[in-house]
Amino acid sequence: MGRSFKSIPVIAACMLTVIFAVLCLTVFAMLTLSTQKADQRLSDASAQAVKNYYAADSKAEKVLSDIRNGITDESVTEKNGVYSYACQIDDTQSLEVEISKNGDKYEILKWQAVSTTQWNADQTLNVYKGK
Amino acid sequence: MNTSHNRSFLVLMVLAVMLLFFALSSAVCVQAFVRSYKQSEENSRRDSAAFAAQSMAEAGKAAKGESKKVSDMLSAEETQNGAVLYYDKNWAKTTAENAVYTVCGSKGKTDTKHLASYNVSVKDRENNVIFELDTAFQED
Repeated sequence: MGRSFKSIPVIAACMLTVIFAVLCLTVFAMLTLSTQKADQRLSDASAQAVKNYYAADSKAEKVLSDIRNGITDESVTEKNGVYSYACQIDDTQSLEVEISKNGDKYEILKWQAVSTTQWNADQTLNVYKGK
Repeated sequence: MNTSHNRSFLVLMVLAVMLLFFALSSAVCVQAFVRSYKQSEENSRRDSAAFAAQSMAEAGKAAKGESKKVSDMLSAEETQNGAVLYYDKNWAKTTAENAVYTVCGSKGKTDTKHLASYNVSVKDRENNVIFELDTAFQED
């Protein structure tokens, strides 16, 4: 009888230990999974950004070769021998190009990835105004 | 005596059930750890492959697709298929014999006059493509 009573706290301790261990394992597993998901999203975005940039770059090179061949479409504007056009990289960026052409020779004046989103700077500043 | 025996059996049963519960939960959690680790390795591999491909693409564009120039720029090997860079499992440059990853850059033709393409592919030891990049440059 005495031994049975003694075994109850032992079982309870074992149960609590197991529950605590399982809880810890579950929490760490969840944290690992969420970190991995975030890592995956970042890696996907990074790979896609590289692909998008080079797709836009190739498109810009194609337009440049068209200009060299004397073909221009409506996306290209020309002013005083300077051709300007832009190729979309993604929703927030585009590749802006400016080419100066003189006969067969050409010079790249601008080949720049720029942000196309509106920058809304916060102009407010909470300063102490006295009483 | 009989009651004591029954109680011992009950205690043993409870312990067995707890052990089983712990084993099951551990198995599930360890599976999650392993899956996360593998995916993380895969992501890291792709990031490094993208970086290596980008370097090769920029060198290819700058060298106008000439394998000799690309090889000089990146200390790559010049082959019939173009410039080839070999990397070990930690993405350190190595020889062809010890290579785990291969980055190959080759010049291609396009239908447009004055325009040529430069294609970069990163492959693993089993010849699986990890990352590919197609770019273009102006020919004289």
